[in-house]
Amino acid sequence: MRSIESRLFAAISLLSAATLLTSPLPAATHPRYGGTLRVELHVPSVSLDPREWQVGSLQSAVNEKLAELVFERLVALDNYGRFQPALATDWSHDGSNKRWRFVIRVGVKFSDGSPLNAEDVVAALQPLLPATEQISASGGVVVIQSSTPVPDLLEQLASGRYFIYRLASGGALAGTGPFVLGEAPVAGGKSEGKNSVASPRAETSGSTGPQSSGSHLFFRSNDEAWSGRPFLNGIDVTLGVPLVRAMFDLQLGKADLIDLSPELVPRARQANLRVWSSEPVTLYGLRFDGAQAAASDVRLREVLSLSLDRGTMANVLLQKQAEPAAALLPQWLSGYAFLFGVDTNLERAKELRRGLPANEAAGSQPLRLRVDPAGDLAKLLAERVALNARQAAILVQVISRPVMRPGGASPAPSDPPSGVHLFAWHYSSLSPRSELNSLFAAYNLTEPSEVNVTGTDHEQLYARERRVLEDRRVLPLIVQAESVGLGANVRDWMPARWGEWHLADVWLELPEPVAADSSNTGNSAIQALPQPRPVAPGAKP
Amino acid sequence: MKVCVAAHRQPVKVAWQESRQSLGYLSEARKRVFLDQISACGMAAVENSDAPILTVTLQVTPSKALLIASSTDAGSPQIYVIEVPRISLVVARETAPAPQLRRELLWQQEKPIQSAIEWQDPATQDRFLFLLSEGLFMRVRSENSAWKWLDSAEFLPGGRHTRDGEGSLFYSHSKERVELVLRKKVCDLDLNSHFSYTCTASEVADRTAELSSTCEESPRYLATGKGDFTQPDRITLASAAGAEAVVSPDESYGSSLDMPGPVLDISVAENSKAAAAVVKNLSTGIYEVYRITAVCGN
Repeated sequence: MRSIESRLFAAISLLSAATLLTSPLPAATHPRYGGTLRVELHVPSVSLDPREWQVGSLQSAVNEKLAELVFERLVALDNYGRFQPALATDWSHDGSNKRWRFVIRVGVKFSDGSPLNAEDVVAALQPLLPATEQISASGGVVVIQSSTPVPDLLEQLASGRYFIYRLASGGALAGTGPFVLGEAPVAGGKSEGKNSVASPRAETSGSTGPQSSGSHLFFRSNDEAWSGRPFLNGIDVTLGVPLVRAMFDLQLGKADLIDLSPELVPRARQANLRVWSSEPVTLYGLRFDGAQAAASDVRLREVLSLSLDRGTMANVLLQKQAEPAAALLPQWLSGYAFLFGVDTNLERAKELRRGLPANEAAGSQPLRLRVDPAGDLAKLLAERVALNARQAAILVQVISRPVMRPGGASPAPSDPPSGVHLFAWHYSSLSPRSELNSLFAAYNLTEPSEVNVTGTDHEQLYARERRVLEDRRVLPLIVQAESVGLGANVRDWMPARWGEWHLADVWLELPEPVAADSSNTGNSAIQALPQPRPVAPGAKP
Repeated sequence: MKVCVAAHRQPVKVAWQESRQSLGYLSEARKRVFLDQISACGMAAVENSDAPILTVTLQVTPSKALLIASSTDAGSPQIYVIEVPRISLVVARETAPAPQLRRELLWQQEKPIQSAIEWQDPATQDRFLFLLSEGLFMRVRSENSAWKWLDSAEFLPGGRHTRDGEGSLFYSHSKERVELVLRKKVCDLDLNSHFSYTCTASEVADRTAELSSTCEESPRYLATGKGDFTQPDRITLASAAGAEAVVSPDESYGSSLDMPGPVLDISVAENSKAAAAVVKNLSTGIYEVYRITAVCGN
């Protein structure tokens, strides 16, 4: 286990090595402290309470990104595939991978000033862990005991909603992260007022309220963070900004970091804006249920599957900001997705259709396709599905009614039953097993009764996916990346390829260094602070 | 570790699928380990072309490296996976042969040398060393592992010795010939009969000394130090050229060469496997030409 000292030494060594630049190469620029990163997001609200997040929902993606500013996990996974200590400094497991032991870091304080202890970790993780995993504390050690082997527990705990928080008075959540949700200071050192932060509890206690919605969130740097003060003085997040307006703000220098929808990525690139895209992190697909008899016909599902032109969806509708999907988990996460092939064959679909009852999914009995996610993209994909299906003589009626829950949504009583749903699933776990379990649970995909006890973990996952896909209860359509636009002055942008932003490592190239003034939040002040931030997990991809 | 009970030994023909991720990882030793593993599962690797094909590929996830063998024998796809921590992939690469710079003295003389380049005549396979020295273009040829002076011809005086150099030799891959740069103008050399050259109006773009080795897919770049002509220099292998070049910690020692004086010019040969570096030896005052190569060692 590498200690913080050794990591710091590594950082210093790296800095020393960076000075070994050769002519005519310029010396690397050292990070600078100060400034406020201005972030504009499309979502109208966020929740910073991991207990409230719906696994797989698109909303949870934004929640996680902002929550990682104020909370930390026990471990982190860097871009080299190495697990790095975070709030746990050491860990071990028994030979069966059922009992895991984590040593909790000492000397860590929550943003409300209280010290972190093992009981806090238990209280935070207990409501989040699966029922098969029991957690307990003993001294400075946390033990997770599972009824089944969990060789990938570290992947599970290094991602998703497994943040450590303390439930403070009034229901607010305090974290140990590099930023604290708080009041935005203004020039002259005075507060902008209480409207600058949505949660009144967060304003007064420095801890994070469970639900934050509104136009602005301000995250100020946590000078007491055990991992070192972040370079930025603060992060000003504006919510509910229309995507096009955010892009204009980026162009005009009014924003430093914005989210980009797929259709805006080519425009942003044409405008010479900095664009970064993650690995594909959102799956769009179709799932069938028994609400319509036609949806229960496996032959009809096969015809529909063969008719789908996923290439056009990815390359034309999403302007190459997505990839055709043949598997439920993406290649970067499972490693085996390439083994599944996209089976588009319209002629074969037509041939199979001729063997089905003529009135099935036709005439007055169309197959009803409900669009579960909100937004134009999902509706666009559904219309393309209907178009493809029509070419195979299947009549699909698109019903747009956004619902919030990814799996358990039920239509209003007045709605006609829908046999197929278009869904969106955001991958949040770095454990493919955990992710597949969540997806299967959300969409009621029957678990296989038999367990291949001799197979390795990935072989079992592949077999489970294959069974579901061969039965065509779920038809993957595309997997889509997340994209952001970045201001030219944003430095050391070193996100994880699966989408974590790592904003504690980011610093701003500001025009002129002026006298240090901690109260100044405008992007003209650079502070000289004595304590450097140690190397962060995920840096230097 | 997978443990299988072999019911019967099924022969398979293993097809290793190399990818960018697997370069430097799928060594013969690792392949053997994998074959031993699948052997325990009842499969025996054979060269028989009639045997079903088992395709093996290396895939990388955020935390794992997976050796995936897939077979479509009997119409039903089957996969066999061996998982290893992804960090072992990094270690494997770190311990794989890394290119090391080597130098070999080719030529030395008291008169200043501005530039030098090695070139092999594709027609005769003769190896030449071309030199620019005090207004002369010189040719020497390798005979019995020794360089022998061949001939020389005048060209415009090069002036003072600068690193940019008013006269320099380089190999143009687009024209497949050695060219001369005079005051930043590209000049075509005619070496067939009497030495002559014709300068064009085009200015030479910034050149990079791109050197390849047998142990890496991507070429590296040679860079020199910041010192002036009074200081010994160092030649370093960098991962990128120009402003992007950064010497990483593990590159800074094994992949650099201390030279006995300032490096005045570097020109890469036509095969990109060697470069000629002109150095003024500060101990002797003699001008020397070194052949610089990136060799693969442990």
